[in-house]
Parts: sequence; structure tokens; C-alpha cells
Amino acid sequence: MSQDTPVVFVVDDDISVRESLELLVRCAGWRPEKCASAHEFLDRPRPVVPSCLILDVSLPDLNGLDLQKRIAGDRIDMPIIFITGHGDVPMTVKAMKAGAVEFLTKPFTDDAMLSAIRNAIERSRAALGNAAEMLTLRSRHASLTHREREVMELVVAGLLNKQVGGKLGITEITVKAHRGKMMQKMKADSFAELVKMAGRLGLASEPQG
Amino acid sequence: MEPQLDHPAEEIKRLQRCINDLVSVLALPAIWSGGEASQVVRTSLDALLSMLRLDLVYVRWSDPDGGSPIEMVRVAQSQKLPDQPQKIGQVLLSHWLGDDAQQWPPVIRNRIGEIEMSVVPLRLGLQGEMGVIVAGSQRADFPEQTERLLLSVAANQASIGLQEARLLSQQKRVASELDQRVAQRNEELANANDELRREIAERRLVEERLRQEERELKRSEARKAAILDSALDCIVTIDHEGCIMEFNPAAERTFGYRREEVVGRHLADVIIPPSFREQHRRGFARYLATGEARVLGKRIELVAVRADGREFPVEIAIARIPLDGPPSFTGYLRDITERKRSEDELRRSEAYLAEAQKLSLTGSFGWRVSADEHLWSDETFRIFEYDAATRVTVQLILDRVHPQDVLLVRQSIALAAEGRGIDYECRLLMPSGSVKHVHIVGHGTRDKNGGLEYVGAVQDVTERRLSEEALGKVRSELAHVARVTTLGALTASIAHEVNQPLAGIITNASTCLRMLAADPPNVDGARETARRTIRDGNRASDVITRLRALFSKKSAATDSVDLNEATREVLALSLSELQRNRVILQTQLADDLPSVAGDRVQLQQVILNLLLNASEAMSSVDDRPRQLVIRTRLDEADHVRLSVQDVGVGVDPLALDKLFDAFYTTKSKGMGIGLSVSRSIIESHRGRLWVAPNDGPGATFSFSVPRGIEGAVNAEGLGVGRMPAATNADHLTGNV
Repeated sequence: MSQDTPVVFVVDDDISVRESLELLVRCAGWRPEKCASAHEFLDRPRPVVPSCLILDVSLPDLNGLDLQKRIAGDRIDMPIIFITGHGDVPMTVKAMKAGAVEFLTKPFTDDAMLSAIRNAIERSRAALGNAAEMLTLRSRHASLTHREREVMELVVAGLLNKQVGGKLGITEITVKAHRGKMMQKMKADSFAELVKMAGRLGLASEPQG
Repeated sequence: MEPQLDHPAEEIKRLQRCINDLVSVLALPAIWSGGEASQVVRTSLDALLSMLRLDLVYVRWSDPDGGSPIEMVRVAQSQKLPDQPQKIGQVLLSHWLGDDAQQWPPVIRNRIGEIEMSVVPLRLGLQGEMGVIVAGSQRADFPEQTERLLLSVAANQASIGLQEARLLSQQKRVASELDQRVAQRNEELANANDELRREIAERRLVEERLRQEERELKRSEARKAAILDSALDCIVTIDHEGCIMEFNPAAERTFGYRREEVVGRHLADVIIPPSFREQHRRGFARYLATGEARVLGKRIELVAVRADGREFPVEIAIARIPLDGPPSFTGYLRDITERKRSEDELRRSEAYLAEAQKLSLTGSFGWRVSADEHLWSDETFRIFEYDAATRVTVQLILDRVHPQDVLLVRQSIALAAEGRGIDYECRLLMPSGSVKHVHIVGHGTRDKNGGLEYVGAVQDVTERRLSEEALGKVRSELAHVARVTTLGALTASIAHEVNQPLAGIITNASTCLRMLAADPPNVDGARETARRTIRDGNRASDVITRLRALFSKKSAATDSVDLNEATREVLALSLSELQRNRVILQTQLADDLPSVAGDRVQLQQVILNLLLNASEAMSSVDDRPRQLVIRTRLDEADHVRLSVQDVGVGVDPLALDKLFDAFYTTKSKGMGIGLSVSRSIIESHRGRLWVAPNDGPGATFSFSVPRGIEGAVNAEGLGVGRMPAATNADHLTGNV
């Protein structure tokens, strides 16, 4: 396994479950990390590679669903697969609504578990990628000058260059100059792409004009 | 005519005769003595007539009593002369002699009728005032000298006699008058005497009476004094000016004055507190002026003051003394400080009682059975929602009883009427439709005449009952939930406990296959998975063992169990529950019941289960008493049988055996564990449990277990694996 191998956390207080999952995960080519309690898991460093979490609902220290709530905010890159010995429908619904990838009842088949893990890893990857992208976009946007940012905002809102000039009190030519610089810095290949970027950055406003 | 002297012997004889006659005449007075005038005259006449051989003698004499003269005549028999005195008198006196006596000749010869007669008038009295005798004879020679002598002597004698007679008569008259007068006087005196005597007697009586009255008075005075002195009440008498006349020892003690100190002083200044004196004076003056009295003749409570100035409450009754003259009054006072205190305390304690009754929603009642008098406290009226002025009757009570409990209440009233104790609960139905639960206790007592007085209390336990019912409901729901969740939890926990190693086993097995399917096969890895699988399998087995241990109680005891005792204990515990369901319990526990060998607690669980089932079976029965009979007896010499008989909804004859199947229940809330568990317990005691429908309504559940040591179950039979509680798990895992 390389450094890029996705990590699968296995958090269950029962040794049979924990260790059997560890073997399965390893056999499937991922890197298992087993924890016997929620706090043990929280103490582990966050992985930088795609990861997911196989989580038993009834842990001795912290209820699985509560843990889900806890990490929902800042670990969108670590999807959760719930496992339980109980099979409670409302619990399932809650967990799924809160964004879990899967909810499996013990004993589960290896296929169901592996496909869930695959799903989760993909999501994680996507989320990570997304996060990286966002980081890039933000730093690009931060590198724009004040005027360039203004121009970008107005332009993605649908204003013509002339109108932008009118609005900002500068000539059309100046606008065009700013625009070019801005597109360069943002590394947008097309206007449509710029608009998308703006959307992702949360800059889109009501079209005017 | 001169007598002839030549016959001297005859003369002598004649003279002798004359002397004899004289002597006789002279002796006449002796005859007359004491006689009346008429007697004198008669005898004179008779004597003259015979002596002188007269033919006629007439006399007229004046009545010594002053009446008209009386005439009498004697005529010789040979003469034919009228013998009416008046006629003769008239002839002689009026015709012959004339009125003037002085002029009368000594003799007159005349004719009366045919007869010639010589009559000699003889004056009676010196002047003839007394009367006259006229002697008459036919003889011509009448009267001779001697005859004349005789006549005059006779006349004198007659006069004298008459005079004497007159005197005598006068004397007599006087005497009689005197006598009369004396008699009269005597009578008068006697009367006067009588009068006096009467008066004296009367006076004596009066005196006696007076003396008696005096004695009475003295006695009365003494009594009064005794009364006054010994009276516990103060007795004060005042005159019309309001000054004290009498002040008895009790008053002295109560007020702190000696009698001498207060007599003559104004009552108001002595015993009436200063603040009331003016009022008293005004009232007194008003009474004297108008006769209008506000305080006479009734008990009133006032405030009085002692010598030391302390004021205190008194009860006083004032009467006017009924004598003539200006009014005086007597007052009877009693220091009621103590009484007032007691009254206040009584009032306070009554208020407390009423408050306590109100707070505890308990009312009291009394029933004098013979007179059917009911006495209720305010709270009782409130509980039954009757006005406090209502006259309570048994019917009124029954009117408030819930229709379903009327029978029960009637029975209790009948018991109460006999004086038996009652302690039961029932429901009341108010006119508004609301239902109250009440707890009634009572017992009978005898009053001093032996009459039955029933005393009791009624407590409104609606809230408690409702909350108990709610609690009971919650409890039973909880129990049910607990049962369910126990089972659910059981299932869940079994599932959970088992699922863990199971999941491990399955995952490991799958992983094993994958590893073996890899290229090249990962045999070491597969070995590891196999090892782990075994480990997980053992874990699973441990779980089952642990679970079984979790659900087993401590190992069953084998005792010698007296089923009667065990039953009584169960009844004691479940009595309130049964009573709450208005179950009427009857026990028929056989004497000399042999004991059985077994687990006392388990057997009691069975009995309790049967009791509660029976009670629940009757929970919808309202038209007959909910009678539950529990019986124990010897069953065929070597078994002991206990049966519980109810009058409930009964059992479906087609489902008799299914009843004991686990989870079979006709109860909407039941789980059906009870009877199956019970049967298991009984069977583990080598007995049997069965049900049979009654002839009437309801069913009878019975179990029969072997008695004593002969039928003793060995310890293993009651050990782990055969324990009833474990049948829960057994059932679930298929071990029945």
C-alpha cells in the first residue's frame, strides 16, 4: 500500500467485528485503521487521502449518530458507513438523512460492505478534490486587485463592458484591460467557466440590466 | 132555822158530822197543794157537792193568767139541770145575783128550768175579786147553820186555795218565766259560751296556725338560709333602689366581698364593671318606670367585676320577687369563665374537626337503628351532595349509590343494622353524573339503654382511587411494556450479543474466500480468518450461555410447603387488588392438609397467577357478585389439589388446551406467559395444571401436586435448564 491508499476507519467496540472488518478491508486493498471507541477515533490524525468511516451505532462512549453530528461539519471528506446489531428503522432514516453513505445490519455480507466502502471512498475523493479546487479558486480570487474583483462581479452578472465602465466610472477600454487580467489570473478558459467559478466562489448575484 | 134541841144525840151526830166535814174541808188545801186553780175548784166543787149533798155547785173564778173568767159547774146526777157552765152562770149571776157582789144576798131561792133551787153565793177573795162559788140545793132549809159554816169555810178555803193556786200559778208562771228567762239566759249564756268557746277554739286554731306558720316560716327561713349558704351559684337580692339586700356566701367567694361590706350599697357600684354601670342604671330606671324588662326571666351572659377589679364573664338570671309593695329582685349568677373557656375549646376543637374532616374529605355519621335516626357531619352531607338540613333516610343514601354497587351497599347496611362492623369501598353517582369513590367504615355500639347506635366514617377516596387506578394502569402498562420490552430487549440483546460474533464469523468467512481466490491465494491470511472464525463461534456460544444465566433465577429451593399457608400469604398480598376489583373472596382450605415438597415462591407465583386471572375474568361481570372461591383439599390420598373458581366470562371449551400454550392469550393486553409458565412450574413439581368450565358461569383452574416426601422432586429436576423463568429463553431458542 502506498501513501495514497485510501484509509478505512473501523470503529466498533466488539472485537469480532473490528478484527474481521480489518481483515476484509486489507484484503480489498485499502488501509484499515481500527478503533474501539469514538474518542480513540477522534484522537487519530486526519488523513489527507480519501477516507471513510465504518461506525457502529452503539458505542460505549459516544453514540454513533452523535459522532456523525460532530464530524459532519468539518469532515465532509470522510463519509460514514453505519453498522448496527439492532436494525432500527427510524435510526436508519436519521442516519441516512444526516448524510451517511450506508446503513448495514450485522451480520452483513462482504459484498454489501465492500461496495459501500467503494462508494464512500469515491465520495471522499471527490470531496477532497473539490476542496483542493476550492482552495485554488480562492487563492486565485484573492490575487485579484480590488478593481479586477469589481469588474468580475459585474461581468458575471451579465453587464456589458460599456455598462461596467459606466457603473464604475471608468472607460470601456479600462474595463477590457481589467477583464483580461482577471481572466488570466482566474485561469478561466471561457466566460462560461468564469461564471461557474464565480458561482462556486459564491459571488453570483442577481443579473442586472 | 134554829135547830131542835130535843134530839141531842142527833145533834151531836150532826155536829160531829159537821166537824168531820170541816176537818175535811180544812184538809182540802192539802189536796190542793201544788195544784192548779182548776184543780182547786174542781175538788172544792166535788167536795161541796158530796159533803153537803148539793144539787148544784157553780163556780166562776178569774183566770190567774188574766184571761176571761172560767166557769165550772157540778150538777148532782139526779137533777136534770143543764150542765153548761155559761148558761148556769148567766142565770145565777146575771139574773139572780146581779153584778155587784156587795149587794148579793146570802141566799136566793129561784127557779132554774123546772127546778126550784136555793143558791148561796160565796165570794172568793176578800171582795169577791177572785170569783164566786154558788152552791144550790132544792132543800128549802138550805143552808143550815152548819152548812153555811161549811160553805163559808169551803169558800174561804177555796179562796185561799185559789189564791194559793193563783199565787202558785203566778209563782209558777214567774218561776216558769224565771225558768224561761233563766233557761233563756242559760241558753243565751250557753250560746254565748259556745260562741266564746268557738271563738276560743277558732282563736286557738288561728294561734296554732300562726304558730305553725311561724314554724314554717322559721323552717323556710332556715331552708332559704341553707339554700343561700350552700348554693354554688351567687344569689344577690336588691331592692327597688338597686341596693343590695342579700349576698350569699357563694357571692362572697366569687366577688371577694363580705356580706357586711356590700349590703346597702348599690349593686352597680359593687359587681357591675364601670363600663356597664350606666347601661344598668338606665335599664333599671326604665323597668321601674315602664315595667318593661329586657333582662328578667331569662338567662343572659354579662360581664361582672370582682373586688380586685378583674372582670369576668357571668351567666345571670334575674327574677322579680313576687310580693306586694315596691319591687325587689333576685339575681342568680354563675362564674362562667371556665365554661366559656371550655365552650371556646369545644368550638375550636369542633372547628378543627370540621376542618380536618374537610381536609381529609372524611365525614362522620351516626345511626340510631331502632329509631332510624341518622346524624351526619357537614362533610358527610358534602360528600353525598345533600343539603345539611335534609332529613337523612336509608333511601336517600341508596339514591346516591352507583347502580352497580347498590347490592353491595344494601348488604352492608343490613350488616350495620345488626351491629356488625363494615369496612368497604363503593362508588357513588351524583346527580351531575360524576362518580365518587368512597371508603366506608363503621361499627356498632350500645347506648346506655342497650339500643344499637352505629358509628362510622365516610371518606371520599376518589382522587386516591383515580390516581391508584391510573397508577395501576401505568403499572400494568409498565409491566406489560416491561414484559414486552424485556422480551424485546431479550430478543434485542440476544440478537445484538449474538450478531457481533456472527458478523465476525460471516465477514471472516467471506474474507477467507477472497483470500483464497486471490492470485496467488493468501493462505496465511485465510488461516487467520479461519482461526478468527472459530474464536467468534465460541464467543457466540458464550453469549448464549451468558444469556441463559442472565435469565435464570437462583436455583430453586425444595421445601416442605403448606399450601394453605402459602395461599393465605398470597391472599394477604393480593387482597387489596382483589377488593379493588370488587371480588368477593371465599376460602375453603381443608384442615389437616398435608404439605407438598417444592419451591414455595414458585408455587405462590402460580397461585397468584390463577387468582389474578380469575379476577380479570370477572372484570366485566356486573349482574352478579364477583365471587371467587379458592379451595384446597386432599386429592386421591397422595396429591394435594388447589382450585380457583370464578364466575367470570369462562373459557372456550374448544380452546381449553391452547390456554396453556405460550403466547396464547385472549386478553387484549396479555402476553399469555402466565399460564404456560404456571404449567411449567407445576409440571416441574411433578404435578398437573388444568382448567374446567363451571356448571354455572365462569371456570375453575386447578393444580394438583404430589404431597410431601414421597413425591419429592429431585433437586436436578428443579435446577437450571428446567427453571420456569428460563423457559422464556428456552421458548425462544426452541428448548421447550
